[in-house]
Amino acid sequence: MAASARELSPEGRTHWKRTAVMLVPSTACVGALVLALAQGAMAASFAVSGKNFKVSADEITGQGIASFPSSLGGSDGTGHAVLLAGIRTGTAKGVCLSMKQRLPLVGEVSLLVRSGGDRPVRGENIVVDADALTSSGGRVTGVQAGRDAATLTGAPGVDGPRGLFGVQATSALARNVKSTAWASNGGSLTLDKVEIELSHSGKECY
Amino acid sequence: MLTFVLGFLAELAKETGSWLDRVLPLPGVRRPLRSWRRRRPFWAGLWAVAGGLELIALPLAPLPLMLKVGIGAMSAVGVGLVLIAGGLFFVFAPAQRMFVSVVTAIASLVSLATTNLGGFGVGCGLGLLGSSMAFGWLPHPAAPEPAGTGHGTEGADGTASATGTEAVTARPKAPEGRGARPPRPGACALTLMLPLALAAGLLTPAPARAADGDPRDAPGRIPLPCLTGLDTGGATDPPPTGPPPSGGDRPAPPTRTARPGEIGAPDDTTALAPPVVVGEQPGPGRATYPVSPYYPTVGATRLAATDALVHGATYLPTAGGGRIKVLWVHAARILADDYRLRVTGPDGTDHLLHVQLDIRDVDVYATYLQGALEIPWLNVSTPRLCLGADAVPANLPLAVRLPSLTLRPVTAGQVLVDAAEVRYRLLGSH
Repeated sequence: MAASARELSPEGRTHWKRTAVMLVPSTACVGALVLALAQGAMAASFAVSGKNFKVSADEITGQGIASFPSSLGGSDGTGHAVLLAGIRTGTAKGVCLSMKQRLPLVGEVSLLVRSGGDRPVRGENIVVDADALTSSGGRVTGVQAGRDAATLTGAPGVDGPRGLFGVQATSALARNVKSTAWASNGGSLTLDKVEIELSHSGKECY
Repeated sequence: MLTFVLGFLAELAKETGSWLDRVLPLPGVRRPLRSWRRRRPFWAGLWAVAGGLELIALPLAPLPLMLKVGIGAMSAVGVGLVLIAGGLFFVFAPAQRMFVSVVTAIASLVSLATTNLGGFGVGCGLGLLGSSMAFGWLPHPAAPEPAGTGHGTEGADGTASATGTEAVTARPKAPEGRGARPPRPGACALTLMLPLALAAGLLTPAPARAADGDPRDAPGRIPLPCLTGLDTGGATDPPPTGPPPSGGDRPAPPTRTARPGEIGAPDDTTALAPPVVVGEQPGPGRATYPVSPYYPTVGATRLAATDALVHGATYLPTAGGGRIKVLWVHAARILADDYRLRVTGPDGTDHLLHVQLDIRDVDVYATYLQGALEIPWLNVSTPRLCLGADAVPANLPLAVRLPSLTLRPVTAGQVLVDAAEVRYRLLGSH
């Protein structure tokens, strides 16, 4: 059997020198990209959804904010009530994002991402579906609370069904923000010093 | 030195391998499987598929949500599918590994910028490792028949026809039985794409249902708490804080219009210039943008307004072309202690907000206001009073200026708050 198979497609092996021919330059590329991302020379795009993850930040500022209550269709068929918020441009200091996931065989793994320790993370067209939000304090200007969700203009592309209660503001500042989010998309984020930590200990942002 | 270490490790691996071979059960099953596995960059394919799955798993959610989340989620699916398809090609069509490995390597690099830093490094790393290993994989040089087997190598499963002899053509039958596999990458991609396409198809009819009317838009009248029921002008109030429409079917909000001949032009959106107000009209004037008829009820343990200007009742437009009658109060500053807002989401669940507010230069529009009025300087509170917008004639050319107005505790049907600045402390919501 083995001999006959060899006639058609012989057994082979991975030649590590050949592998290095591709692996080394591409690793160099990764290094360059990571460097560019960490220095804020390049923006990264983020999208995490369908999971309950925690986000915290020391300080968030935003220009052009729109928000309305929404619901996420969960994979189990039950809707999950969230507050959908869109931010046109914003900055965030001391951002932390953590996600806990139970994996088969491995067990519970938590992923922590930190950024914006020294310089704030800058983002554009960020959309967050949060189901719990706390903040120690802040300031919002140009508030229109009660505007029909279909006519929201604060953040591009963020408007809801007609007849829904909507809020928009021209600018906002929030301190010590903690949120449990279900989906998040940073159209583009310019990062600073990203720390990614995978742990077994169940460590989370808060 | 390095060659020695590598050689030693290779020897060690070989020893461990032969030991495992002796120890593990089912040699009859494992040996053909192993020879199958050795005839293709199996591990490279496995890593690439694992990387692709990890990239997709991060933003994986029901499709409508992913569409809402936008390009980030979609690019994750795209790059992930490329990696999975590439990995399947490595395993089932190893002849094409060179080109496919370059494609998957580029896709892995791209994922770093487009999808969660390449799945937080994991998916990108696995994809690069898989691509490079596939690039580095080579079949053993075939000693006996260099030309024929060289072709067979490249052809793996497909080029069986290239070999002419009867003996060899008989052979391909067996791999060809297995050879039902080569189309599988495509089939897999299809099975992955099909639900996406179907769900996209399901999603598009959603706006078509937009024309459906709101069942609650029936002529029935739900009285607001403490409203008198006698309407002194204009439209009847739409149903108050009932569950608002769900996302899919967007109902037309109440579109009843005013009876003619009422006081004031309901569609007059210019700011009123009541005779009582000396000087310029404070604030930006009446709001001109549409409001939601499904407004929240709010409450506060204490609400103190300074330099308040009570405009009486007016109308605000709703998005469906209807309007809603509200009380309109402007204030230079409002302090609200333990402000609570309850608004119903599209699925009928309540969102609660709890916060301490300090609002500057604000216009408040409410269907009703209820609370005990605190009389200044005397430190005495009146019994709980209630004022509904429907009892007040709309757009009266008259406004009452109050240097300070304190209500405790207060509840209101808050249709709209238009404020220049809101300072808050201790915000909590769920």
